[in-house]
Formats: sequence, structure tokens, C-alpha cells
Amino acid sequence: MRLVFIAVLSLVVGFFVYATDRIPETVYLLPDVLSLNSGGSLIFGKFGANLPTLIHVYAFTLMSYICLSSHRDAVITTCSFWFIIDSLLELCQQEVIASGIEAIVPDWFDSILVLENVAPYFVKGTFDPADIFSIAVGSISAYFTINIFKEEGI
Amino acid sequence: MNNQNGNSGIYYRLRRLSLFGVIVVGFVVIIGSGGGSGGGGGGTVAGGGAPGSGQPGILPLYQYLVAGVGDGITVTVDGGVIRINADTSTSSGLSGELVCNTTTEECAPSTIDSGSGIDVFDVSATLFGHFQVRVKTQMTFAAVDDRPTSGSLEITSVTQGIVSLNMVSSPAPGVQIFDDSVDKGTYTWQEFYDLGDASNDPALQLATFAVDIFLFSSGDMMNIAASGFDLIEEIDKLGVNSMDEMCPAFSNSSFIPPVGYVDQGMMNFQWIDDNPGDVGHGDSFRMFFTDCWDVDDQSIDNGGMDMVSYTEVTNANNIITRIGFEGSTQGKTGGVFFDNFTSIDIGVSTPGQPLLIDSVATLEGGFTVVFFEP
Repeated sequence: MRLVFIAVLSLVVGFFVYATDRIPETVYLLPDVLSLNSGGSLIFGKFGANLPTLIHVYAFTLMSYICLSSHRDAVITTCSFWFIIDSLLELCQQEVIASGIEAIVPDWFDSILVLENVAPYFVKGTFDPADIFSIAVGSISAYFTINIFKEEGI
Repeated sequence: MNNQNGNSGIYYRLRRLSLFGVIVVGFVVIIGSGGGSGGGGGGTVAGGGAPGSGQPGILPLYQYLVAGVGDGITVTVDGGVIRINADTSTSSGLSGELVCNTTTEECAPSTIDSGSGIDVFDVSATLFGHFQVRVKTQMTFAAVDDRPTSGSLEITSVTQGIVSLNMVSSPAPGVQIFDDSVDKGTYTWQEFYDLGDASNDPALQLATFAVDIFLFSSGDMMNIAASGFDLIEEIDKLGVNSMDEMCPAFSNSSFIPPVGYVDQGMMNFQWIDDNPGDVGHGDSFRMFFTDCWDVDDQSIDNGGMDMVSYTEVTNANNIITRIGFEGSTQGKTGGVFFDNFTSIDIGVSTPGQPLLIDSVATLEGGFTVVFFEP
């Protein structure tokens, strides 16, 4: 239960990074009414650029582990899974790959919520090696968090 | 025992289902936290750089201004010559609002301001003489249509006096026409455009001619500039000075090109580094068409188009607040300039036969186009 709390709390922090430091037009799922961006200085500073990346892999690794915890290799499986997924998505934001993805995304995606943002996600995103580092830090942090709670028998 | 196994099985399935749900939500959060208009550099939960990096995004609403440069644009069609100018010294040019989808970055004009207008000069003295078109009350457009649904405009002609047009949306979208306050009837848009050939009334013929030119001047000029923006982004990504793009092939539309034209033409786009450094603000560009088949307009484009003094201003969040071709660079006046550009309209086609040319329009001259934050 405490892992669920930590995961949810992490995602709330991630949401605040978007709500305060990004303008809503740049975030597909962030409606204007939830934006707290006033156009002034960035509350999370330069960490705001990569913090959400770290939080995503961390929180979803914890939540996935909760669902798989009875499995013998649950820790390493969930940590590896989200590290690979997030890293692949980051790598696919490189221009050459992104334009290839844009070319194969079917037109019918344009009429479906979230799927309509698949091509823009890759094309408008920017590959940032610092994000790969953040993903690694998030995965390692999740690994240690889970093991600490395992040792405490939770 | 069986009951325990049953509970265990349900519990196992529930956890598997929960895991599936977590993975789906994880993907939705990744995809949904980026993209948008891209201003955050795809600053997504799973990726993206710092705010301010990556391709700049766009605003959901812009003001636009289209204005003639010098004498405006000269159009020569089948011996008739007219000069079109959106002169900001005699009108407010062509201005209004443009609504944009920040995800797909597709934009469409939503209004044309009152006071906007064009002057049309009958250079060859074979058409309607000199006339002015002015928007009297703001014109509005339906989201997905390129024809106005409300507002009014007035045509003042030396030969026909004042012809007024009210845009109507019911019983069907169309136009109500008054010739010097005499009601000439209400027409659907299709009926209205047919009047040019079907009616002998010079006031109605002038109305269709003037509206056609007016909507061309506002809509097509912006479309040309917007196509330039896309090509600038593309040439920047490719990191080259010049690129060629193949135009649609006639054969792909099951057509045979007119005699003397190739089946598939091409377009060349060239970067002129007027502002030393990367592709961007202050640079100029040139498009050159060679037998380029425009499927939407059913026309063939040939000749050049110079796009001079590109303006691109972004804010701290990497969102474009001003974009267009305006000002000046390297002593050159900014704008989009036609250079012996011809648009060849295709007439009725006969299956199995080469397409027949209906008319050839040659364009010279230029205009400035700029979109800016309201």
C-alpha cells in the first residue's frame, strides 16, 4: 500500500511540473484550465526538463511491481521493462526515426483520442541524452525502493 | 480446496488485468504528455528536452495580415490583365483571425476584418474597369469551409456603381446581392459562381469576379506562405541548401497530361542564407515549379516564387508568436513574389485523351504575409 502511495505521490509531482513549468499548448493531455503556468520563471528550474522522465519510469515501475509482486523475478522484470520502453520512446524522437514513424502512422489515428498525438509526440519531441540518464536513474531508484520495502516485508 | 484455487485464480487474473491497465495508462501518459504544439520540445514524461528546445509550437489563434508590395500582383489571363493590390494606404489590407489546431498544426481563417479590402485595376481595359472590394461587416468562416458564412462586403466599380453582398448561412450557405440597393436575389455558393457564365447581368458578373479575386487574395496568399513554412521546416531538418520534391503524377489520377507536359513534374526549394547561420529568421527561399500538377486546384504550376525575409519569432516557451515573410533582408523587400509564375487551369477531361488546357494565368509581383499573436 505504501508503494502505491509513493507511486501516486510521484505522479502528482510530475503533474505539477507540467502544470507549472509547461504551457498547455505543448502538452496534449493538459487542458488550459489545469495549467498553472503564468509565463514567468520555471518553478522546477532546469530539473523540470528531465524530472518528469525520471518520475514516469519510477512510478510505473512501482505500480507494475505491485501487480506482479508474487512473481519471482518481478523486481528486475518491471525495472527492465519500463527502462526499455521509456528509452525506446526517447530514442525514437530522433529526427530520422521520428519522420519514419510519422510516415507509417495510419490516417485513422487522427480521429482517435491520444492516438492522434502519436505522430506529434515523436516528431515534435526532441531526443535528449539527459532523458536517457533520467530514465536510468528512475529505474535504479525504483529497484532500490522496491527492495527496501521487500526487506521490511511489505 | 477448489474454492481456494478458484479465489487464487481470480486473484491472479485480477492482478494480470491490473498490470495490463498500468501498462496502458503508462503509455497514455507518455504519449499524452508530449506532442501538443511541440513547444516543450516534446517535453514529455518519457522524453523530450527542456522547454524551449525542439521544433517550435504554435498558438491556437493568430491575427493575420496580407498586404500588397509595391503595385501588388499582376495577373494575365488570356490577354486580359488585372492588377490586384491589398494596399494598406487605402484599406486595412487583408486582416483577420486564423484558428489553429495546435496538435496537427492545421490552421484556417475564421474571420476577415471589416475595413479589409483589395483594389483591382483593369490594366488591359477589357474587363470591369477599376473597382474596390471592401469588407463592410466582419466576415466569418465555418471551421472547415473556405467560404464565408456571415458578414458583408461592398464592391465599388467605376462602371457598375455599388454592388453589395451579404453572406448568408440559411436556407443554404450563399450570397444575397444588391445592385445599388436593388435586391438581385439570394444564391447558393454554387449558383453564385455559376452566375459568372450563366448571367448576362454585368453587376452579377462583376460580383462573382470580384468575390473570386477577393477570396483568392486572402486565402490563397496565406496558403502559399504556409506551404513555405512547411518547406522551411523540412529543409532545416534535412540540413541541405536545396531540395527537390516530385509532384503528383497525372497517371496516379488516371489522367493523361496535356500535350507537351510531363506525367510527373517537380518542385525545387532553395534556401538563400540572407541571415548567416542556420535556416531561420531573416533568410529567404525560392520555390521553382516545373509542370507541377496540383490535384486540389486541378491546375499545373510552372515558374518561380521567391519568399523573401522570413520572420519567425518565438516566446520563452518556444511557441511561435510571429511568422511570415515581411520587412527586409540584405536590402531586399520582404514578401512572397511571383516570378513569371503560371497556373494552367485544366478544362473538361475526356477519358483516354490528354487533358485540355482551359486557361493560363501568369502572375507577377508580390505581397507580404504575417501571422502574429493577437
